[in-house]
Amino acid sequence: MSTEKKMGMELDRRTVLKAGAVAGAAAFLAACGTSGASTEPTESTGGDKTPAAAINFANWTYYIDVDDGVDTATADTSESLRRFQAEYGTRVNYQEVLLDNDEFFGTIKAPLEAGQDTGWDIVTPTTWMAKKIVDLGWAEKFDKANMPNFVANLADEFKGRAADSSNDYLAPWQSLMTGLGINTKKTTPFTKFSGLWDPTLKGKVVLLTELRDTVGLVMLGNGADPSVPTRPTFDAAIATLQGEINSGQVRKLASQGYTELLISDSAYAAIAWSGDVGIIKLDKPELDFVVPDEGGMYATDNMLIPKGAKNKYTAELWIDFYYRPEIAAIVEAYVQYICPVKGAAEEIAKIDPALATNPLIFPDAATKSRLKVWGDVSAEDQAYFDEQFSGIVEGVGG
Amino acid sequence: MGMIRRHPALVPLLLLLPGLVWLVSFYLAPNIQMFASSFWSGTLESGFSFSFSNWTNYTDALGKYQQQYARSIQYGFAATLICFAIAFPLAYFIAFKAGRARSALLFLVVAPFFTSYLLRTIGWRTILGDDSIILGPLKAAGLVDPAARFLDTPFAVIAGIAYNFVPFMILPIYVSLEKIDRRLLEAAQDLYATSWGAFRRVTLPLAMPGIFAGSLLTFIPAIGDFINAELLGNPNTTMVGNVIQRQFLVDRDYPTAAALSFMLMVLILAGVALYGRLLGTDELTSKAI
Repeated sequence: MSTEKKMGMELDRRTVLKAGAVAGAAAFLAACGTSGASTEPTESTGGDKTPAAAINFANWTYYIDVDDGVDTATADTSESLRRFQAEYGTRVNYQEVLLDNDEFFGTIKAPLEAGQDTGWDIVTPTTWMAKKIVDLGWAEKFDKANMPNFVANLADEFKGRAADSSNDYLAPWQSLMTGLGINTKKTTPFTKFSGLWDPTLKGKVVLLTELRDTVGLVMLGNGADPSVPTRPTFDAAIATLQGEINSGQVRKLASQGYTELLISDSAYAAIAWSGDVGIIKLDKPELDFVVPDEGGMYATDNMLIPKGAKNKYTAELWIDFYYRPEIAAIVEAYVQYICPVKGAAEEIAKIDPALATNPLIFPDAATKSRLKVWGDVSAEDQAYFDEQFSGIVEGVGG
Repeated sequence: MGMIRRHPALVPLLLLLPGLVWLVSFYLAPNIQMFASSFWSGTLESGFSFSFSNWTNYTDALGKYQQQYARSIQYGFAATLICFAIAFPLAYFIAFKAGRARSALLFLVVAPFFTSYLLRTIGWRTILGDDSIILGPLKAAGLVDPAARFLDTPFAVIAGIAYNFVPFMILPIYVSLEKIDRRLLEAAQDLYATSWGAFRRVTLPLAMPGIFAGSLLTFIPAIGDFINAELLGNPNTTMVGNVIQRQFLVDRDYPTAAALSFMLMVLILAGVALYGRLLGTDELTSKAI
């Protein structure tokens, strides 16, 4: 793929991001209307190793490569999905229905509980949610004999994770950093989290509606550790947030729509995801992604085969296909998140050498050491956290 | 057909049947379900159980979200007033003065509906933005404080609601004005009424059914709206619709969400009943509909 072609894809994705709220709304409607996938393919069961005619893949929005001039990934508009079909004859019914871990879990919970097929062969929850599904026994164990690339190319940092100690259930799809997006033209650049609360940014700060990202960063800013959240440190972070909202410092809490505020200069600083800032920067070079001095958050979304999936073997083939460095590179050049596949950097250099050294896709060790993953807590504590954070979003303390 | 001829009494029943089936399946049944779930306790993970002792769901929800209820009423009321202020003169103009442009103007009133409600609201984000086509030039000319903003404020939410629902006010008022027998106005003039007098004593009373219907068609959806507060507001402009949406979809606290929805419905019904009483009679309602 030529550089021009790749840039074209990015420009297109950028246009899509500009309409982030629109697309989010559309995806929201799609998510509401879809309780499972639309097609019902089946693969022959037993020892027969024949790829199915189609598999159903539920993923987040803007999370796989898409052709120039197209904004929705399908088996026809994504190079990686097309190549899979060319090789195995399997059409990937790719649907961008994951908008929120909790919400999506709600849609697959009933069939899993009843021991039925969810309609999905691959889903990509964030690690904390993936762990919940694995712990409930609702994930299929990989047959690694079908997955040599996954075994060979899984980045070391993902081996032996608490959520899946022997890598039997989860195949990382992308990792993302949460930090600050700062418009360096409109505000003096800063690296301390407290810079967000500077009076000159009053009404120009936007935060995410994601608990683990927003509260995690505020906790780090307060000197607390979000990898071991406690009620006192959480309450302190909520108090900080409420104060900054009530004073008018924080303009809005937004989901994907935060990108639009940064693009239109309605916000000069935001709690932001690395990949988004990378894309916006192409058009708005003054926008910088910063992992604050106090630290940033890190999360991974993982491919998982839900229990009872009709096409487990073919799903394993897709996962393994993605773990080929040249395929991962195609996806990565577009999505600009952190790639879990060894050897992808070399492959991505062939597409565009600048991308191979892009710190958003390949952060250095020093940056990585400052990233925290939101810690596991008891169900009671998590329910308490959820309720407190919902209160912030609902404006209860306003 | 023979049966209908033999039993003519069946005809009204048969005519009502589709509507009844619709109402029972999509209004009554969900409402009973919602009412029942407002007495649940538990979580989605552990399962829900019903008990009348869970009536505290109502008091808890009201205690926690009274501000959101109050705000919904305020925003709904303000938006309805704005709609009326825009709609009445416009409807009057279309009905009495527009002549052959009438159809074209009515089409323009309805035209925004050809675009999705969400997209229209998102469009306002661009129009109202801090450096947008409205605020940008004003700031550049020094007429407005550079830090001023319209987007993500209560004004933007109210303006958004008013914008989205104004056709629902215009159309019923237009219909009632258009129906007015012009000879009544001539008669008033013959009897030496001033034009203001004729307007006040003939036109306005005859327009009341339209005003009544229009204000209900505006106020009811406005009070339950959450899109405008979500897209054009800030964390402290949330309305009760936003809370219900989040409780249902994100927190999955169905009992609280159901209690909030039920209270909102009762509140609206009581408000409408009172309004009908104040404005006059059942006759008004029947005329309006």
